[in-house]
Amino acid sequence: MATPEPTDDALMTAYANGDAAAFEKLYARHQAALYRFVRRLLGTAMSAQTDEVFQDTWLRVVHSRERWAPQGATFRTWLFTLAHHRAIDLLRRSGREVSVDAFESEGDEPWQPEAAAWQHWPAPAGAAPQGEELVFWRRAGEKLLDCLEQLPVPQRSAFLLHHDDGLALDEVARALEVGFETAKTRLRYAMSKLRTCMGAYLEPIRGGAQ
Amino acid sequence: MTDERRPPNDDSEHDAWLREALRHAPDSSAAPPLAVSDAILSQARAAATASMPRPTTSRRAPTRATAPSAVAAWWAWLARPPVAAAFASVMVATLVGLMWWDRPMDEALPYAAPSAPAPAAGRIEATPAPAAARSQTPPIADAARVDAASADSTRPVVTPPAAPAKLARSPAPEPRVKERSEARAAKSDAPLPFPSADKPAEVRAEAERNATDELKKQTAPPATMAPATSAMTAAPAPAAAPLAGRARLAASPPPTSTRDVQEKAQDAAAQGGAATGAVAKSAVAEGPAGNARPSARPAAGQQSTAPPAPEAKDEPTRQLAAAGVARKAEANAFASAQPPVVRSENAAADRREAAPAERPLANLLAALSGDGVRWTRATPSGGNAPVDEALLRWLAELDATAAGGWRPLADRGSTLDAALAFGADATGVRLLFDGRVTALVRIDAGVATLESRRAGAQGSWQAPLNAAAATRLRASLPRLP
Repeated sequence: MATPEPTDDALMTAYANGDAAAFEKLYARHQAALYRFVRRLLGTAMSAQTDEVFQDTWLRVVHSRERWAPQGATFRTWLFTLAHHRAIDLLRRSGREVSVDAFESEGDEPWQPEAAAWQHWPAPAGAAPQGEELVFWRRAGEKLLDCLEQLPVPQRSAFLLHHDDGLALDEVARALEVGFETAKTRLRYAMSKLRTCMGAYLEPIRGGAQ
Repeated sequence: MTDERRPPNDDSEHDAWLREALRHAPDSSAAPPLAVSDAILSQARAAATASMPRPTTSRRAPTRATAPSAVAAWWAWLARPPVAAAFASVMVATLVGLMWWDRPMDEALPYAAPSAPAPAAGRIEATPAPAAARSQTPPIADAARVDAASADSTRPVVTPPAAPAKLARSPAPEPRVKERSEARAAKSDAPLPFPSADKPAEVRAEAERNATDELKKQTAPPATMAPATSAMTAAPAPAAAPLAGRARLAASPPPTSTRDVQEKAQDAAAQGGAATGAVAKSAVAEGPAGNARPSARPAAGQQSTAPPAPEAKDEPTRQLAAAGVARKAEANAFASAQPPVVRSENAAADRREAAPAERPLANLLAALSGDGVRWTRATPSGGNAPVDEALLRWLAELDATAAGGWRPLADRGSTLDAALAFGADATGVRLLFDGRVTALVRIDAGVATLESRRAGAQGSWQAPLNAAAATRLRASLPRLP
């Protein structure tokens, strides 16, 4: 019977007690996702600082090991919260606007593109796509990164935390240190803009999803 | 069925298509660099080791266990990008500072005059003994300084601005002059008569002995070698022409009042011909002071009838001659290198002809700077343009290139206007004063020519230029449309 993998909280607790191996496991679990999140959040203009923000985030984890305690938020949420703080600090120091209040007051509901925008897209298959579908999704991924660059930072972080890192909405709100509804609104605005950006660019492929 | 197609499992906060696109984004496989990961893990291990409880059985084991972890922790901290960048910056700054340590900052020094004291001394040495070294720029203030040194050593020392190195030398003779003046004052309070023009040889011998003493006293600072040398070789010069020196002293103060001139003449008569050394410097070559030169000739003629000096005043004469030698040495180092002129009964007139020839372009530059708004430059289209900084710099560069090689040309007589036309292969500039053509600077192949009809500085001069310098100057002349 295979031993279940220890949870993040258990590993962090073990590390706080001096188990360096526990930290190595934690690091191996989350390092790739965290690195992608930091890289996409900073954007192309500040991608050179990705390593710095990434390392600072983990060092904060190291230095906070004795004070850490699971307080409702998961370790992953806490980790991405630290990274988000560090990235926002860097963006503010560089003079980039990170306020999104104006965007959140754009009306009651974010504008939704027409459904035809997805009509010709292939279904997001669970299995690895092949052939034309693989090409399509790779093109879509490239275009999506460009569209993410155009999003305001708060909407971008909400979208990435939810869609790429798998955090639930309440965890997204906790990571962004905003209310639940605010997090939800930011996410919807982000999705609306990304759909518009993606649907207007990509050519529909023939034989797409029904 | 709704018109709006929704992907399966696509609630309002989740879009499977966008998620799928994210999965296939180019950076989906991005990972941190190995160095970063190693640094993080090493720091984490170090921190974990530090937080482990130390065993109480042995005190040596924890030291061995914590030392490498501390080093690892320090190394991991140093490996952080900002720390590493700061450390590298400090190392580069330290290296640059060490490279520049003790380097001479020649570029920080002010521009020095092109005159060379050593070459000037060499040329002076090559001339016959009864030749006088001429200097130009230091005005009557130097002569006044001689007077002040003998009577009151507390007067301020006036030094030429273009020779800052000479500042170190100028105070040196002051104490000795003061001592000699005090000794002389103790001997006699009677005014010294003017030395006789009939006894140039005796005074010359005295000046030679004094110059030798000066040379011995001035050998300690290296900066004084050149002026001391020139002082030694130029020693006969001041004594050889006391009359001309008196004329210069009387004639070339700042042209402010005739009363000043008379007072200077009286002082010089009281102190003898030893002031000729300082007086020689007062052959002012500057533009305004050049106007005083015409008055030197009548003054020289007047002074030629001065009474001879009595024998009993040789000692003070020698002292003042020594002081004058020191002043002359300073002036020689300051002035452009020029060969001394053979003294004659018309030495004043000769000096007037020679002094403008030494630095005619410098005098013109001084006039341009002093009366800038009144000077204009002729344009090829026939108009006039103001004299700008670029032209002044070019003229200064030409003067520096000529390096004191200006020589007066034969009198061109009434053809001066005709001479102010450029040749087909010449490059030059025509300068107007109050709208009238007043000066011409031209560069031909291998020679620079200056023609001037300025009041007090009329004449034509030429200076040799090597081919490369002439080509460069012709190419760099600021052009006008």
